[in-house]
Amino acid sequence: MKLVLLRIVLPVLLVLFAINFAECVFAQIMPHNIQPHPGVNPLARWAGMPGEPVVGYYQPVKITVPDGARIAFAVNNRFVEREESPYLVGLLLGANYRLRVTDIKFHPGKELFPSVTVLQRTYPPKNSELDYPIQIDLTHEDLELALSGRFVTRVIYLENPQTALPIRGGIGQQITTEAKPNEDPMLIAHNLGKPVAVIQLGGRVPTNRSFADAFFFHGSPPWMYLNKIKKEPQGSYLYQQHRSIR
Amino acid sequence: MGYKIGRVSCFVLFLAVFSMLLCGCLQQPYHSPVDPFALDPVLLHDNRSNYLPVQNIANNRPSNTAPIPQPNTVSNTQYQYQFTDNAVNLPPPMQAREIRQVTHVNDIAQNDYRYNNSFGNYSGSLSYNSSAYPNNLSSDSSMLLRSQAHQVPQVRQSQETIQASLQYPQDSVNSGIRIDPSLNELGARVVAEDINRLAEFRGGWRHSGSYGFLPQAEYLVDGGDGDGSSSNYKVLVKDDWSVMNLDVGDTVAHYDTVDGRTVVEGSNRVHIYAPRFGAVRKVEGVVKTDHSMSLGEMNQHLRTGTGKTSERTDQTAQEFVAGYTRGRDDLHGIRSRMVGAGVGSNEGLAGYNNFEGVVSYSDTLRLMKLGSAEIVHLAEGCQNARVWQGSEGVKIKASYKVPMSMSVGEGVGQLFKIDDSGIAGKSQLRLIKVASRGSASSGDVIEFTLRFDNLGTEPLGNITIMDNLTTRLEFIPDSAMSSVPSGFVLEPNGVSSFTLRFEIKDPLEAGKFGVVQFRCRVL
Repeated sequence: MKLVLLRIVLPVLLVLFAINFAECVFAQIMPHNIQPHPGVNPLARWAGMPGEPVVGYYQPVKITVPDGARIAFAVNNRFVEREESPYLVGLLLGANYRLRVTDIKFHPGKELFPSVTVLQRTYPPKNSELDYPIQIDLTHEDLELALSGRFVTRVIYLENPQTALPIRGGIGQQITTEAKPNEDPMLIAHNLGKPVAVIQLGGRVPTNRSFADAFFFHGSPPWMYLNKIKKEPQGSYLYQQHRSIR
Repeated sequence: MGYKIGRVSCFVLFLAVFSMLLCGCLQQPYHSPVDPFALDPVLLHDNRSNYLPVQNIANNRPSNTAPIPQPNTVSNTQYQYQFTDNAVNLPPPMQAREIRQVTHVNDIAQNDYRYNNSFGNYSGSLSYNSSAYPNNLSSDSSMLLRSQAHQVPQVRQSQETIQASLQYPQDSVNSGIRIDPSLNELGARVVAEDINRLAEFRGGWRHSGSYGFLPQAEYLVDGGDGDGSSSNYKVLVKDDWSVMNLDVGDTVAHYDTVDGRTVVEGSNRVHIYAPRFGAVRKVEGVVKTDHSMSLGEMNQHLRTGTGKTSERTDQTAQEFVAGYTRGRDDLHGIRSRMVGAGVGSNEGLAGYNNFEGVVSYSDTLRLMKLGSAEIVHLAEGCQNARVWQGSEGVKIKASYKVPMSMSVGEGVGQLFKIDDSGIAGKSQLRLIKVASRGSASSGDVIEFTLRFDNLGTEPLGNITIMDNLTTRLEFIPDSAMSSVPSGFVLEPNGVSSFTLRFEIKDPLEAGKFGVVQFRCRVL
């Protein structure tokens, strides 16, 4: 009996304890503890958390810039001008997109080159994907700060409805929380809801304007221009995407 | 030794059990973001003109409310709702009633549910009626509910599963319109993986990791009595009519029964897709710093010695030399008296003398000249063309056996009969909450409708409907209405929103119902 207890029961209990403890510990891993791969935006490690679908979904994103400024996305390492703000585009999850902001009020001729990364997708009802895109609002203050040499990071999060603030939001009225210098904006966003996108502006400019800088454009990942589809609804845009693939 | 082993094993056993309990507490509980019973209907007949403006009252319902009269002594037919099923006037005990599901085969998105009052077991016979569209239901439909059927994937269906689905336990039927969540619109049993897909398609997307349902943050959930977790208790009503545990988002109704009890009944939960995005901004920059450092003193005496390099290149010899050099003199000038005399050939480029093969055809096309050698090839080509134009060529075979028209039958999917006999002497109130839209953006207005039915056989008194609005729902003043005489109280709920209280004045007899409505703006 003692031998059985010593040689069988005890190891089994130890193994159970180890498995249970390991499961408990790894279940509490936060994405900010995961080391990113080299060459990947460190914030993109939040994309594709365990179980999240990543590949092939173009998340609708609406980007708003103030005062008649214009945004251009890159195609084949070159910026392509489109219509005015707001911009409704479909972006891949985890990909890093380079933008160009021009026609900034009070700063003629100045340019900014923000980077946008979509971390999580949303799950709107069918055929209403374009009605509820991820909303990214760039204020004039953000552009001013970036032009003055500051580095501005905006982490867009999906607000937890159980802890939502009773204040009104909307286009151009995005609820914004300021992070202190010693705080991680991603962690704050994670506490307030679910981080879905990151936009960073300021700092980097193209090294050589005469030819395409692939590193600067992050390889020009594909994106979809959805403003036109939004104006001419033909059912779900995903359905159109499916048709175009065929 | 044995004592030691026993002590160690007991300690390890205690450690294992304790760790299991601890880990179980640390892990997030399973919360379904989508109430499978939740209705998301949007379609109601617009009979708002029949509603009465509610009467604002200052305080809660006083304790000395009027006693409940005996049955059949008070008539509230003056405020009957127009599209009521009271036209049926089922006297207590209620007769068996029906739930019919109308299924459009080709367009599941247009599935409509027509419910009558239901109570009791989901047991009875099942019969198919695929002959015609149930026109008779359109007249007695008490409430036309449009569900999120278009978001439900189709699953397998078989006769066995349908029969099995009818064995639905009574204790889980708290509300009359609830149906078995493991059944799809066609009445088929949904297998386990399809249940997950069901949640996904209804907006809740179950996470395979340890984070539970992530997309639940996209939905605005309102209604019900608690979320079922241990931290959210059920609503209680004290003797002084004060209400406890009415959490944000709860919608309940409490009423008094003939035998003196006060019963609280929660409504269904309404899910509205209304994501709101916020931002966390961080500004970083480099601050210019001037920092000067100077040497205080240096006591180390170092002396540089003499550095001298005496290496010198003596001689450089190249053993191989060039044998000779050939040079070309550039032209110092070009003098020519010859100018271009023109092109004397009409055949274009010289050197295209090969008229054989494909090249010759291209030359023919280019030079517009047909040589003798090309005529032979051209003749062969013409012969080949004639051959292919002959009977050896492929012909098109046309078939005229195509359908001239095609019709798809759309009819009754299933017919459920609900046996609610044997409930005499019971008191039961059903509270249904519906929203006018299933998705909304910030600033949109949503109209909520609360319908309360007396499903029992006894009259219900002092019916009080309370709705504690979530923080993102802003009550629009003067938008509350009721189909029956009622008082209305608007109280702050402590989270910058309001608690609505409808106090129905008259007792509600068996088989009767009422409707209250109000509007909110999504923040």
